[in-house]
Amino acid sequence: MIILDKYQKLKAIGKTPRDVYLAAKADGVSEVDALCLLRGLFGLTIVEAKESMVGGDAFAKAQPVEVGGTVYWEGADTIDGLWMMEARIKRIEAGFAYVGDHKKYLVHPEGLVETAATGALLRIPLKYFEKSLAEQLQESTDFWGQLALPSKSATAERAGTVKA
Amino acid sequence: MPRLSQAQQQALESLGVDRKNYGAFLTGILVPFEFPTERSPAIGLACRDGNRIKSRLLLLNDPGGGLKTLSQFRTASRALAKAFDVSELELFGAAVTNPKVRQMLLRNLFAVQTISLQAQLGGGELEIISRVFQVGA
Repeated sequence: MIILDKYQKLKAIGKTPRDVYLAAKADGVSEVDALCLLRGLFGLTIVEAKESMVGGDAFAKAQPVEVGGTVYWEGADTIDGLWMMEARIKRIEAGFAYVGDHKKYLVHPEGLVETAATGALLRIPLKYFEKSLAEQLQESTDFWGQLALPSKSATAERAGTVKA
Repeated sequence: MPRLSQAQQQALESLGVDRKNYGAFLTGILVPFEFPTERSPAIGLACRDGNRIKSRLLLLNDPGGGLKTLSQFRTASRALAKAFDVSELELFGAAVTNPKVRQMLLRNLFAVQTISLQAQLGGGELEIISRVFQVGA
């Protein structure tokens, strides 16, 4: 149940939609109710309400890198195909995050399938984590998009123009 | 409450759809749900519309875990489509404002459309970017 009066008072004293969202979350208000609260109280569009809740554009944000925090990276190889690795940061030193407690997930059409985290990196340059979610998505789709394109030699071979 | 099989109920629960919204979901009304992530729950909208399940991600606030969450969301949506034995799954992002993500979705055959939002989420119109996928056996 949203205690509307409390949030109206917060708005009246000049608190921002983001402040009201954080207060509502501290009160245990659900995300859906918080979205409606912000829209009703401040007259926000969905986009404006979203940005207040996320604190900006979620897709433009980089991963938070802190000791004890969880980080993710993805990759692909000829054995496992596309995979995603999850690990906890043990320490940060000289431009690297040293990670442990790895979990590896294979990205299958049916979903993520956890598998043995063999060959996992133990230290990763901090620079890697500066990539936003949008950039990560773009790199993954570009990679698979390029793989799906026939190479010039394969096209020529199919056309029978490759000489042995 | 409408009669649902155990698999259908499980699929709805996995996505985060509240029991009180099952009736609306089945009649083609997009109902909001909270999809669990490593951090704040994501907000989504879903419904069954004839032979199609529509499943939308409206708000994602999961710094770092975004790719994992997106993959899990797609999996839960596919499971829902299979549980309801529909042949089509319409996946969409709503109010996608990030230019890189927009561009990437449009390059991958997603299309832009505007829909009306029900009062449950404050009403108004909303732009979505969607694509229909066939649901395999």
